[in-house]
Amino acid sequence: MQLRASLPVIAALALLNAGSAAPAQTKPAPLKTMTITATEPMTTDNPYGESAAPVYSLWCHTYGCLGRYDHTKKMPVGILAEKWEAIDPTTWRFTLRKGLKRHDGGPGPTSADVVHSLKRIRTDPESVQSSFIAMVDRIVPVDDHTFDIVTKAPAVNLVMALFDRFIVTSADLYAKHGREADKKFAVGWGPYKLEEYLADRRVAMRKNPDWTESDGSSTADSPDLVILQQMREPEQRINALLNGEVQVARLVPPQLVRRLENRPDVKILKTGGIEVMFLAFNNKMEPWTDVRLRRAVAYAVNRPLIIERLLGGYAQVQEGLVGPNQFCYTGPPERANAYDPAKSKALLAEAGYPNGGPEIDFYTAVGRYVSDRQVAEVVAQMLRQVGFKVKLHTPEYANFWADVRRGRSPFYYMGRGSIFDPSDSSGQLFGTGGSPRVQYSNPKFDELLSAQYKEQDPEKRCQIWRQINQVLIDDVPSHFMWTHNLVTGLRANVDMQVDSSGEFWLPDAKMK
Amino acid sequence: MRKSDFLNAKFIIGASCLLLILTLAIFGNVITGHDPQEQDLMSSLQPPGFSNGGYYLGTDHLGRDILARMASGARVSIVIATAIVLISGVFGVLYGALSGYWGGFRDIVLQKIVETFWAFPPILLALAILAFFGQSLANIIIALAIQRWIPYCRIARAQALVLRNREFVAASQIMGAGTGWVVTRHILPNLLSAAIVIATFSMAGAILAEASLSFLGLGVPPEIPTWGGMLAEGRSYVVGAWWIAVFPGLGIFFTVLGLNLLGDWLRDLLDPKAALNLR
Amino acid sequence: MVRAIAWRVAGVVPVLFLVTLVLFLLLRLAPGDAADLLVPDDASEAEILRIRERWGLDRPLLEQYFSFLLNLLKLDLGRSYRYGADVFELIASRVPATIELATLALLAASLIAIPLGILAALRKGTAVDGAVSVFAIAGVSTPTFWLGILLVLLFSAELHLLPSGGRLPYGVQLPERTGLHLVDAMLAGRFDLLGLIASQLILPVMTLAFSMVGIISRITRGAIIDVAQEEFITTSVAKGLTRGAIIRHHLLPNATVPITTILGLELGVLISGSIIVEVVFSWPGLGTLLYQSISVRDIPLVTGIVVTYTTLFILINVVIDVIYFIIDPRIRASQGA
Repeated sequence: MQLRASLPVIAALALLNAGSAAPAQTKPAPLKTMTITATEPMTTDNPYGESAAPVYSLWCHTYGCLGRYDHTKKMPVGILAEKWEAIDPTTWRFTLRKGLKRHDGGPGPTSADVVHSLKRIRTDPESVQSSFIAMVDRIVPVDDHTFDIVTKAPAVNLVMALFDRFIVTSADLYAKHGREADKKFAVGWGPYKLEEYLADRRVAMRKNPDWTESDGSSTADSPDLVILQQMREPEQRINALLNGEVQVARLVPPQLVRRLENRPDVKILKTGGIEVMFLAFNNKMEPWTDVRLRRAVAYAVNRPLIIERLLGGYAQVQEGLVGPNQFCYTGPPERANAYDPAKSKALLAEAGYPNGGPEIDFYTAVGRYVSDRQVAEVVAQMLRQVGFKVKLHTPEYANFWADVRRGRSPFYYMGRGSIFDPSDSSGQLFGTGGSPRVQYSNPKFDELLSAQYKEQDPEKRCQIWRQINQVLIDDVPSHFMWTHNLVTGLRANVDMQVDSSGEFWLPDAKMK
Repeated sequence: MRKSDFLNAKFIIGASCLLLILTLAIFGNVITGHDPQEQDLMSSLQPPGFSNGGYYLGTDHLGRDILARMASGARVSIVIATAIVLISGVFGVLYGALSGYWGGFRDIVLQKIVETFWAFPPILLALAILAFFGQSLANIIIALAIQRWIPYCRIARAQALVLRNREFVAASQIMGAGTGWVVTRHILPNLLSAAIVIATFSMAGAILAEASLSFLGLGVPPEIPTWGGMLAEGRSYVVGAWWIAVFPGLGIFFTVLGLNLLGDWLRDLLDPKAALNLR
Repeated sequence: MVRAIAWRVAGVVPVLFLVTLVLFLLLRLAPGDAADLLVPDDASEAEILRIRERWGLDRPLLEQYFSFLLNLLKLDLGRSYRYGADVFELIASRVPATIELATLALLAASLIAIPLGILAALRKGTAVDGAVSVFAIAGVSTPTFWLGILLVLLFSAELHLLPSGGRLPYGVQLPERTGLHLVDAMLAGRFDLLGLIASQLILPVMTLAFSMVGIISRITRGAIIDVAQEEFITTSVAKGLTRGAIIRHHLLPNATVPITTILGLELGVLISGSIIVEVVFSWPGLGTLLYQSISVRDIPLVTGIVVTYTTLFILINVVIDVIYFIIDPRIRASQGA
């Protein structure tokens, strides 16, 4: 495979190859460098200082986390943990892998490191990760490699909630160097060793020669050097990919996919996403206290048409909070809110607006989600067509988010990222006394939700989820729209999978 | 070629450009039967032509008629640009002329205020204003005008500094002329050509600044089509649907070209000493 | 003259005071809240409160402002909410990239625009003048983001000649002394890197420069024509001086005041206005940092960056004033009096 890279890039790569000493046991084969675009702000080298899927993924690769969800095998697999089981409704027992070596030659991970990590998540002044750990009461070491996580209440979703976000860092390095350890001794046990962290620019990491996958599979074909290069503008990601500067361009928006089509040097990878997009109502604000109006909105929006004509087919209609890419999906719901403008008009008339109205303010995030503003413009027109008098607002994101979070936004289009296990966020979004964003209160929903937390049998638990989902579809506290497909552009010599959260496991990636 | 011919050529080309844009602004919506805001997803991304349901300049990603949007955009862009140039130009020239003419302590204080405004990165001021008061047309005008008076002010002051030591100004002062008289009679006329040059460019700059704000997601609300907004939205479609961005781009270009040529023509016309140049 | 310069530098203080005050009020009145933006979507109210407390966002406005001023006196700009790092260090790591871009763009624009402007003025009314006008207008009527996107499309994605953005790639070792990579490479004797560095600068520099060629060439043209109409030029013509001598001795020196003014203005505009180009080219400069920090309401960082801009602007102003002193005897006379 001949890379059509630009001259300076070739020069740079040549320099790289010359500069790096290859491991002694192998012949100096050419270094396989994989540059991957990154969009999330990379702001701090403190592994607990940010909370976003790409950040957790990065630190899972270098420091190591307990495990991850393998989206191809559809099961959780261990990274630093090798075994986990519920020993009673509020206690999970984890066993750490033995025989791991720290990148600097130090000892493998121990229960003490896990306890230390929990402490940092909770008490590091820079930590913003304490929410995913909220259900944990304490961690009790059993021996060097075994520990119990005790939850405050029964939490069947613990493994899914915790696994790939619980970054394990070394207790003794922190004891010696404090916060400086994150800068100068950023060594852990993961499959890649952090080499450079330039905030907002790039992260470089090199393959850990001592790493073996928990299932023993070979990592010989995975890239030797991985660079996460920040590129916020989608156009630039495409151009850099076509120019061979990057091997993996993530988050390709639908309108740019065509630039990658029918080219011998790049491939297009399409993954079903789990970021649920929805039209949220503030259920305590007029006129949305009236369920007929919420339903009228749901029937007025032609989701398949938007997906086909505006989103290039790169999205899947979502009914309720649980869709096909998510945990506990049990097939299409009995009743869904399909496009039906006549029904919508009838509901509006029934609610007292036979000749148009009510006047509503509709807010959208801009530049945050795929084609967000354009989607909102289309939705606004669809609502006008059934009679709503819509004023569309496109505030700057900080203001938008402040209003949403404080419950001041009556009706808005936004997404909720990484809902793989729906129990993570549903209580906060739709539970009574949850966040003020949606202000929904329905005793039946609350009851079902708390029941599923206690249900140990996965099948029964998913049946409860089916009921919860139907409540959300029928009562429309928010109208669910779709999940976007994640489109990734790959150079032809790269072979890798991107999971539904947009992340990947580098040891599985292959590069020629 | 005689000079007057060239002046006329400038006038003719410049005026035709602006006439073209004005025609578009006034009659564009008559030519096309479509509403600039009306979406039709089933006919999105239609190329320009005469056989596609009356979308002569094609449609955008939401199936809106580009011609209708060009016409509305022309009106909005003209309003935005004119308002900004008028507000900032009049204020900036007067401010700078007085500051330079007065000199001394008053000049220092006035220039401190200028520097305070100048020191704000424009994007921050625009953001702050749009964030507090919302993204309305009036706020865009305020946000963009609030910094655009500074070039006028700087040039006006620099020229006033030079002019106030000239014999004719000194003579007027000796003859007891007041500040108002000296500024209007001697300083302002001498500033006019520079101000016109800046104004013609600033008009273009205002249209472009609006486009840049759209690029950063802070443009005018979606209900108001502007050329800048169209250009910013069309950037993702350059390959495949060039017409979305190229037509508003041409609109901006012809407007700016027209303004500049007319500006030049006006400048030559206004300048009494134009005949005495190096030829 | 030294006294005048010292006076100008001292003048920074009130401007800084005004700038920070206005800024502080603006940011505090803005509805977006830093704490809301720092925590993840699923954070609880308690978490938000904790963050607010940690950064002192719960204290009264005036108290926050005064502690900010006190720290500023110690040259301490505080810590960024978002990056958790020292604001001063963050800015210092970004300033050189922006300065490199802005000065090279100004240089490129001047090298193209001033000769063009002079040419247009001397050939006023001819086809050359017209061609320069059209070129200049094309420059000012093209939005920078648009030009940047098209250039990258052509030179990177299609022709594969130049990189699409970014600064030095990973693995290139360059000892940073000034942070200006071209200068650093020369200081370190790494002439082999110059090509690489230049290849990364070409597109952003050209994009930025193109927008300025228009205004600089027009101002140059206007200034030369204005001077050409002055009585003393007419006198020189009458005295029979050659055309070349008139241009060298009378036209150019007298046209420098407006040209210098516009160059200074443009440098200021460039440094703050490079945001768009930095975003398009992922250029790790101050502009992208500012854009980021505004969007997350990182008040210490925004304030720090604006303070930096202010200082840079005023420095540029001082330099321009010094140039006025040197080139224009009349201003020198008036300031001395």
